[in-house]
Amino acid sequence: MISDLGKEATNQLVRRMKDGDSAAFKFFFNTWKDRIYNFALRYSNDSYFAHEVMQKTFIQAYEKIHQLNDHSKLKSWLYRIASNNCFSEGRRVSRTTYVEVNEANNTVDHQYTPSGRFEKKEIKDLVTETLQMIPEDQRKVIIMKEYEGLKFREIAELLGESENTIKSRMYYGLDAMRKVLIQKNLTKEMYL
Amino acid sequence: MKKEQIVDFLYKEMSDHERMDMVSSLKSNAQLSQKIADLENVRSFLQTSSDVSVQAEAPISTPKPSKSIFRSRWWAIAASLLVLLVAGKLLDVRITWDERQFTMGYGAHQEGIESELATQQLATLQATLVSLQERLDAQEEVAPAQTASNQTIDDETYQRLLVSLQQTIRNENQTLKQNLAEQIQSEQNAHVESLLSNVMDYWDAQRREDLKMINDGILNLAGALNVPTNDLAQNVNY
Repeated sequence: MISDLGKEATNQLVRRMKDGDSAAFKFFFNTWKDRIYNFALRYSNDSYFAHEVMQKTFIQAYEKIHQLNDHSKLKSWLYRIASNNCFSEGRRVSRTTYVEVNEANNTVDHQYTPSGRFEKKEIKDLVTETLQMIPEDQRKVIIMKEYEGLKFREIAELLGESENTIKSRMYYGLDAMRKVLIQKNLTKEMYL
Repeated sequence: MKKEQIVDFLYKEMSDHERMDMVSSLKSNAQLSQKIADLENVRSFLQTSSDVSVQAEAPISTPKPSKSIFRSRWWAIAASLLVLLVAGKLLDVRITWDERQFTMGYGAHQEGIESELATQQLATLQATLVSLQERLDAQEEVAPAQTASNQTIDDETYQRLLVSLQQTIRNENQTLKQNLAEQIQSEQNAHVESLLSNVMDYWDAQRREDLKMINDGILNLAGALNVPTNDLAQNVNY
């Protein structure tokens, strides 16, 4: 990962990309493409959508790399582009991304019986499906925090919000997920 | 307890001092303790798929309508004219016209073939007349005392000979003209064959170059994606 490269190596990588070094950009792409793809896939649960976002993100990164002044912020800069693309692409396809969740609404569209444990693939699908049921701004924060390992400060920076707002979204997002799990009758024993 | 503090506690983004305060609060507040346990369960659920990352496949191209340079009708007309001009240049096409006809041909311009034939005819006719005159002069030397009637017969003979010679010359000219036309046609065919051969060689060279570029592109793509070449496509045999 680039974050493992260290500050100086990251700095050098960005400088080479700014100089138009295609090998540097290829390295950058190969290092980050899966992360960005998975970010978009978790956001949308749609592989075509994720491909579109990934492609647009790297095209824009290639075109706008000279605008990145603080080289150490390469990671959060890339996620900002991906996040914006998720938003714009999501608006473009006009998808219904979540359902309202509240304690009173116990309408369960899909319940799971506590009879057995899930396979890895099933869990992945289940998590992604559950993520789609919470509001977009909360989903984005949860994905960035849980799967991309960004700090709250970084998420706040790339989403252009205050750190407290991000933490608040995180709280409400986790709580919304908890309610979805209850609705789906999913217990800890089934996925752990 | 603030929501932000709960989140900081869950993600261990608080100082040791704040953390100790939080732990002591949890001991005295069962509801808060339950809340944090519930949220940790949600985190556990989310983390179950953290190691299930999907590898991005080869970038797929966004289907976009192709922008043809022939979108404009005028561009198409201009391009057609250009192609015609280039082909005309390659085949030495020439277009001529006069008050009687409009002709289009290819190959070197055979200007003055007919006038050349006329000159040859005239020269042949003159040579024949000179020859005839010499024969008449010779007859006069052999028989200087011949009668006027003999002279008259000789004039008629002269006229018949002249007509006969003219007919012979016409026939010969016709044959000559035909031979020349066949020769010109043969030369033009050879010229066109040579041009077509050159064009075919050029196209073949271009095709090989294009196939080489496609093959290099496939290998580069395979290298960039770390995919075995035969998984993407067979190498282009060029």
